[in-house]
Amino acid sequence: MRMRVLFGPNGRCATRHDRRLAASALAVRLLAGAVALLGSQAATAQVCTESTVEEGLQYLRRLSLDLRGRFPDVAEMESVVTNAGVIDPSIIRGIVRSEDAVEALRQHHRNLLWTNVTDLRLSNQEWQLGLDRRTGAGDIYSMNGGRARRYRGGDQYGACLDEPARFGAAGEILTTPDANDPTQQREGWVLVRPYWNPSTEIKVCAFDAQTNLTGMSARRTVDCRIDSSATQCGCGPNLSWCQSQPDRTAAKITAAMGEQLLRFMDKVVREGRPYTEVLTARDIEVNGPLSHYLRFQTQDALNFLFATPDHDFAVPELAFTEDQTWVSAMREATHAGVLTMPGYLLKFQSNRGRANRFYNAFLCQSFKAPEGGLAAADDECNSEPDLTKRCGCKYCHVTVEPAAAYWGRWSEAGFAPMDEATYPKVRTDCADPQNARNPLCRRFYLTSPGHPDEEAYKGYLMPYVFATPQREANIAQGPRGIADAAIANGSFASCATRQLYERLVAREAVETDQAALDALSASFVASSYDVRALIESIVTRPEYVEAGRFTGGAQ
Amino acid sequence: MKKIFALSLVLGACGAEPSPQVMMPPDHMMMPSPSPSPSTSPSPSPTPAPVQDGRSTRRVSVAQMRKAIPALFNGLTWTGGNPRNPVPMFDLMARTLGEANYLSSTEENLEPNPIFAKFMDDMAGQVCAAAVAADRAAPAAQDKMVLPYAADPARNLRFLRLKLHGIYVPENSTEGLENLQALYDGVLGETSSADQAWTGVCIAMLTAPELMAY
Repeated sequence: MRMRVLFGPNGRCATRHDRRLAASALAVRLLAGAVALLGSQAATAQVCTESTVEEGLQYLRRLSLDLRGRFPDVAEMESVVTNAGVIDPSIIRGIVRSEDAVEALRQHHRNLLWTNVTDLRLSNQEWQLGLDRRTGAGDIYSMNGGRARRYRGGDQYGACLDEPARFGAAGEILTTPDANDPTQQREGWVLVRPYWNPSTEIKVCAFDAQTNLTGMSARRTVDCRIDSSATQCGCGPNLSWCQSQPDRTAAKITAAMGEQLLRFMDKVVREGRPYTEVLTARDIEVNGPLSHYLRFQTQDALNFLFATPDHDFAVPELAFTEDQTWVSAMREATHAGVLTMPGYLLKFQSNRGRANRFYNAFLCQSFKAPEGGLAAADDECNSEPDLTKRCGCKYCHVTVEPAAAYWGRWSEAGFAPMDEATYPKVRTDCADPQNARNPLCRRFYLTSPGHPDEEAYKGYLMPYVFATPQREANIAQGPRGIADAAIANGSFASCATRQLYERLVAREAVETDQAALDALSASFVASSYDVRALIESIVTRPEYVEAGRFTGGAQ
Repeated sequence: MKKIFALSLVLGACGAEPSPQVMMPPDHMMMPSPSPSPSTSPSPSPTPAPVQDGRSTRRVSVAQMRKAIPALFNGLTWTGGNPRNPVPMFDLMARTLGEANYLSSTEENLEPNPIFAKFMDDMAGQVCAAAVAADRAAPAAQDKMVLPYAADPARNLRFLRLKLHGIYVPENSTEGLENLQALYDGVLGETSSADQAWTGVCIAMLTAPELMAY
């Protein structure tokens, strides 16, 4: 027999409503003025009556809100009344296994992964089309960055003329000197069917709309998909290589990156796959905007967001406009669940950030400064270049650095896999001061040691600087290594259990919950990580069924 | 209309409380312990079983309201902006209402704060008025959201208490309905409009802690 603990004010019976009001104290205070106006009504006494029907109804309400995101419908509640407050286990199972529950769990996953990278710029102005308001009706697309100056000359970013473009006999674009600035040559526009809306034609300045695959820049041939320095290079066929600011193409791509993560998590849950697969599975879904981006807009590898055409999987071919169509693909073994998806890698752009989020979200651990704080900024010990040894830093980084190493072969500030052949552990040329300005060396290799201890690592790929053999092994394993370790030692299961438990019981777990957490975690593992079975176990435990405080429920 | 809101707030605060409940969940809902200990034995013990924390109370989230309101009101929801091109207010006001966007905030604010209360009043005023108007136009009782039993106010209040608060009031009881009935009578007396009276009741119930917390 379990007995509810009564703790109501003024000696009267405690109701769940007392607790509810306590939780809603601020709201109640807001209403206090109105209460005073009608004091006699406010003083309505409570009557202590036991009602399993009421308990059953409120239990159903919790289940429905927590797992379906809505209130139960009247018919469901009437069935609880008819059954004297008893909710058939099949109803609970139906709710847990519903599509609504997948959607509700999505919110949990959003909290874990912070799935929003819509603030990211995918490319610089060299690849972004805009509408030039200075010309004509403001309906002509062009690029406003360095390309505008290279195309047309002059000191100002010049736009094209609002007239159809003219072409010479060899197909070259003909220009007209600007009336105010004779150093500037202006061309007309051409009509293009853009990739983001191929059913319409838009006006695009002829230089910007060029479709050449190669051009000449400083007497060398350049690939127009990668290099914007040649005046013969434009945005390619259907403007495929460029973003359009007015049409928010980048926003559609970054939104899809977040959705891709969540869809993956949804799929693992919906298909009843082991929940561990959120960290280990290699399948992925791609929609139109992502397909277009991965196939046409990741060529310019040294743009500030590092992406390359090598994604370690064959990208399904979809039109940009197919934003509601998601097609599955299988990634190569370098991938590991959400941990190598763009939505994760770009949300947490440094390897340390990726490791930190992994610890927070999947191990329920966080890194904290040591008691007593860090050493003073002017303390000599701060000059130690190895963070696993530097005073203050070492308390966390002795763990952070090996964990971050698992992402050592994934680009920071980007999402490209970095294979050993293309990005070897050591590049002697990057150690040569003559190559200090080489973009790849500057971005990924230690070219300019700032401390004598770093000299030995000159020319090393950054994750290998100060790397111990263990860290080197972690780099070789990739994110799959940290996932496997967390699954094998049980920390993933116990963390996933704790997070779902705390979400559902609407509070942090306390010491008296530990037995329940241990039992739930064990059954979660035994069920092959069936997350819906775990949820069902949680919501049928007294800790969830009982609102408030209770006795004798630890089973 | 202000009077309706004032009366509604009173009911939300104090007049529509559920009965206290004690429930023993059915045995089939219990999870067996993998390692039973004497303290969890069902046999009588001289030592009282330890008090444990059960589920805590939580305010409904923006995501829940976004989904729950249309579910309660046949697709009606809180909208704003140009009536010809209405904007879903649960989306537009998401950040203000405390929903995390994972850019500037990573934790949802579930506090029952004044901002949330204010906008939920706005939401309830709009949705309830629209629901009552739609009910008047609906021919069949089963299509009505707020007024399936308008001719029998007591029955209708029981219906709403169950639908909106998940609280069952038997036919031989008026527990928890008195103040709602008083609100209905008061607004009806002031305005001579049953629609306004039901709108007031709907607002009171939609903004009450029994709906906003669970």
